[in-house]
Amino acid sequence: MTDSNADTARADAQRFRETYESIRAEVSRRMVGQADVIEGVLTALLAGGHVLLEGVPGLGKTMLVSSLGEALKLSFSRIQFTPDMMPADVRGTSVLVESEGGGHELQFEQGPIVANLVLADEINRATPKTQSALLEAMQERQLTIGRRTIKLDEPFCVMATQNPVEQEGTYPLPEAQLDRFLFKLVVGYPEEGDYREILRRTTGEQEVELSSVSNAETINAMRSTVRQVPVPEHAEDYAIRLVMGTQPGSAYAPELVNRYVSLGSSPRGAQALLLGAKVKALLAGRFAVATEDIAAVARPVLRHRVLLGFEGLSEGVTTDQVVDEVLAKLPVPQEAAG
Amino acid sequence: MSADQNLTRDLDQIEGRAGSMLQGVESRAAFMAAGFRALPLLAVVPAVFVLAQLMRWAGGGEPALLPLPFVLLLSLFAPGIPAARAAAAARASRISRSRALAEADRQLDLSDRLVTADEFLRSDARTGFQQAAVEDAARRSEAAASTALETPEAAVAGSRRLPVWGALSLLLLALSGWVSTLEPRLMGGGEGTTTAAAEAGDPLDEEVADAAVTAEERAAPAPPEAVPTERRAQDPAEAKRSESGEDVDDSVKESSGRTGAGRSSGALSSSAASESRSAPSTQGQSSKPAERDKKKRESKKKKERKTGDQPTPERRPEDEQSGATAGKGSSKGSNRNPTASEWQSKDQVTEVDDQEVEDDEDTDEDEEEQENRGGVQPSLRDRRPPVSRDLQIGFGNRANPDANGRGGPSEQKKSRGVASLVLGVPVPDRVKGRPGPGPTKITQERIEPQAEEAGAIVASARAARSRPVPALSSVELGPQLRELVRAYFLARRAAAPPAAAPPAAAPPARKPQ
Repeated sequence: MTDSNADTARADAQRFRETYESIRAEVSRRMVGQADVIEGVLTALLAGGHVLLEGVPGLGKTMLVSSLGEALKLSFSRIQFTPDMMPADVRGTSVLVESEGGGHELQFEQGPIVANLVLADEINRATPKTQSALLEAMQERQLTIGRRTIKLDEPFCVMATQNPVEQEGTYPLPEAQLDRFLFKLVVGYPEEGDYREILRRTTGEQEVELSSVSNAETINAMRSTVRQVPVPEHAEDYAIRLVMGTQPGSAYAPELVNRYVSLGSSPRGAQALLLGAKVKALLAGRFAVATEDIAAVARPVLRHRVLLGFEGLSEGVTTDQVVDEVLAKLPVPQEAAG
Repeated sequence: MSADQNLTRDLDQIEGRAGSMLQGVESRAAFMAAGFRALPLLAVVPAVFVLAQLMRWAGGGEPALLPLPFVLLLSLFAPGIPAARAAAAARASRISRSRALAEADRQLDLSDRLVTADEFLRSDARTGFQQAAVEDAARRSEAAASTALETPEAAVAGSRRLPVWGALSLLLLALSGWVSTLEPRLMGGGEGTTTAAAEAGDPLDEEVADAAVTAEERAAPAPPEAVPTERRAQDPAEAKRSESGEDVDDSVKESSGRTGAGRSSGALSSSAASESRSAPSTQGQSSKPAERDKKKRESKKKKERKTGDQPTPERRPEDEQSGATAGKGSSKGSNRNPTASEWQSKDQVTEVDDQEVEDDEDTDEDEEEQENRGGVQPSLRDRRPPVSRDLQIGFGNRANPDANGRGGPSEQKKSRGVASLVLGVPVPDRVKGRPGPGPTKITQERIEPQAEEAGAIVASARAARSRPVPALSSVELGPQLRELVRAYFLARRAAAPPAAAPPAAAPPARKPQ
């Protein structure tokens, strides 16, 4: 423990905040409104996770991700998921090519998943078989095709979109797939004041050109900074109890959870809570995670990890209500300890 | 290290202040919670006091036991004792350091900086971020140590019950005060009157009894100890009398309402009749007939009530009897069959008047009963005129209203003769609706063939080949077969004389197997 270490930490945290702010400002040049969604996407990217964006068509989900790719100077690929898409269309496959000597040989052609930023557009339109092609890439950050294993370059971030309205002909994401998304962000309608700016920017003659304000190395350094943020014991306890509060039958589960929830969050939810909270703490100018940081990311982290039972669905209970109830009923660790 | 020591000192100071504040809040909360839980004691003490007063007064003693202010103080003290104990227990418990610092963090909006710094201070090897967090907290701890903390409100449930129990307690205290004003009760002669009046519960009688007791007390005061003993001796006998209803004056009976004088004779007879009817059950019939009789009688009573002042006709013995009672020695010699069911006994009408009286009411019930039995039963009491034997189907498109179902499609067929004795489901004459789609009509149309124009191809002469034929690769022949053919021709060419023999003389080529 030296003062120089503390100075380095302070400098890292300061750089983190400045870079974050510059990326956010650049993306906001094209995206009007949706400040929470932009912040959520950036938080997930810097925490090293993947994002699931849910919203009705026309709200700029795809534009947000592509803008991010432009602002970060990262390799960006877009996969439009369709029902007839196969796993090889995502991961890549071996094709027969003619060699220079006139012969033929099998050569691996990598799929669009091999990129820094992957936009999986309308991911719920693909069959579960194709959706599962993303599982290994999202968790292990590598691809295994036959006997070939490809390590994906960091930063690797999958940003998937799905439409909650058109459910016909779609395949809901399996739980294992959902659990791999750090955040699920709900993209809502813009505010009334944002409409004029959206119309002006999108229907005018000039198009907004984004410049890259960061790159892969910077993003990786920011991710490293996030990992260094310490988590005090009471904040850890709070995250654990928050996750346990979503599990029916646990000691911290409120009545609403016991009645309406059939499956709660996994330990991966607690990991996501702390990673998201670390980014929040840095952005708030603190050097350690506080309970309020965990509470701030509880909704996007837990809303897709809670599975409602039949009674909950029929009663119209939402997972956001469940998370809010757990937050309201969960005592702060110090108070519970007495 | 001096910065750490300063921070530790500040944290200790904050913890001390926040801890004592939280302890006070917890103590108050515990006091109030326990007090609200013990609120019923507010009313229990006056209630016990009033009971004691009443018992003392009933024993002939002076009802005033204790002065009322003393009872009031005792009532207030009763819930205060457990509340004080709970408050003392709460004050004895220690508030943890992390909780006290968390409260300070919450009030000063420090986002857990003090708690976090306190935890990191205990760590020997701090990382750069932990040290930065400690230094960050140290910058704010000095200001936090000098800032006053607000005492949070202790939220205790149950305060809404306070007015209820308080009001009840005051009511009981008022009652206690009223009981204290009562004069001591002395027992003497004329106890029967007093007891009867007291049992009747009439306030007027109670006053009369009190007056009588007072008069007799003045005339001949009896020793107070003897009165309750004598009364206790009399009480069991009186209780027995009241139970058995023997040797009790009519006046007493009237007051207790047990003679049934207010009930009509019809009610009495009906109750008696129902009791007698429900007795026989050995004939495989349940008590339903008796219940139906009861219902009918009730409906009759309603009708009688409607008629108003008309005198109640004397009940005929036929009404009180049923077929089920015929086997019990009825001396009327009627033709009722004891095994017959209720609907059969109704059909066996003995008097015309009886039929007229019950006619309108029973018709609907008969139909319902027949429906319940699963079909239309022969009813001798069906007063509709017999259907005609006209077998014609109907009048044009209109159905014959008098059709009996035997001449064609009509209403449900009614059984006659032996079939009437068989219980069964009614069979409709025909099933409504079309049983099948009907005959299929196939129409064939003959169409004359029509000529269609076809594009004629104009034949033309093929021109001669202008260029030599290039080497054509024989795709059909494989390499082996090609070699075989080549060898064959080479052999032929070698075997042939220079003047080539005609090819017809050559041996036929053998096809490869």
